[in-house]
Amino acid sequence: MNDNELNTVDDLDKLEQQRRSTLSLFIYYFSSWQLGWIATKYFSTIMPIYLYYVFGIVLLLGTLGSIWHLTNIAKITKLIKKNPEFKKVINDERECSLKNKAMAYGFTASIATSAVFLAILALIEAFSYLDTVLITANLVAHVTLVVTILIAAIAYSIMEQQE
Amino acid sequence: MSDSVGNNLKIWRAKFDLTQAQLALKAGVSRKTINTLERGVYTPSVELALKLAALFETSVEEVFFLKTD
Repeated sequence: MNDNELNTVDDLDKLEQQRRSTLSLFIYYFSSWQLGWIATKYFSTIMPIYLYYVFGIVLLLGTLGSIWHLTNIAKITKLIKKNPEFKKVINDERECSLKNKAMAYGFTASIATSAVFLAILALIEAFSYLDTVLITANLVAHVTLVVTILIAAIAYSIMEQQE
Repeated sequence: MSDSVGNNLKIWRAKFDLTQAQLALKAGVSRKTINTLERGVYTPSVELALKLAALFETSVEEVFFLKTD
C-alpha cells in the first residue's frame, strides 16, 4: 500500500463527508423546488402573488446548495473513474444496507400518501356538494412521487448522521 | 436481555499497526464502515467478518464475539 493510494483514500473520505453534509442542502433544494412547482401548477388560482416571490427566493438559495452537493458528487465520480476499485468501497455493504432501509421508508411513505389521498377523495365524494375538486390524478401522482423521494432521502440522511 | 455482536477490531488494528483508512482499503470497504464497526454501531456481514479475520490472520471468533446486554 503506497502513500499515493492512501492519499486517494483520504481524498475519497473527505469528499464522502462533504457529500453527506451537503445532502441536507439537496433535500432542501428538492423540496422547495417541488413545493413551488406543485403550488404554481395545481393551485395557481388560489395562490397569492407574493408566494411566487417567496418560492423564487427559496428556490434560488436551494439551487446554490444543490450545486455544491452535485459538485461533490462530480468530484467523487472523477476520483472513481481514476480508481475503479473505489466503486466497490463507496458502495460497500453498510452503504447498501442504509440505502435499502431508506428505500423501505420511502416505500412506506408512498403507501401512506396514497392512503391519505384515497381517504380525502372518499370524503370529498361523501360531501358531493364540494364541486370544485382541486385533487387531480396528476397532483396525486406528483405528490406521492415527491413524498417518496423526500422521505427516502431524509431517512438516509438521518441514518447516516446517527452512525 | 438481548444479544449483540461485539468486536476487538481496534485491538487487532493496533497489533497490525494499521490506520482505519489502511484497513478499509485492504478490506474493500469505506473508512466510515471500519469506524462504525469499531464503535459497535454496525454489525458486519459474515463475509466481511471473515475477510477481516483473514486479514488479521486469525479466526473470526478472535475478532468478533457475541455479547449479552
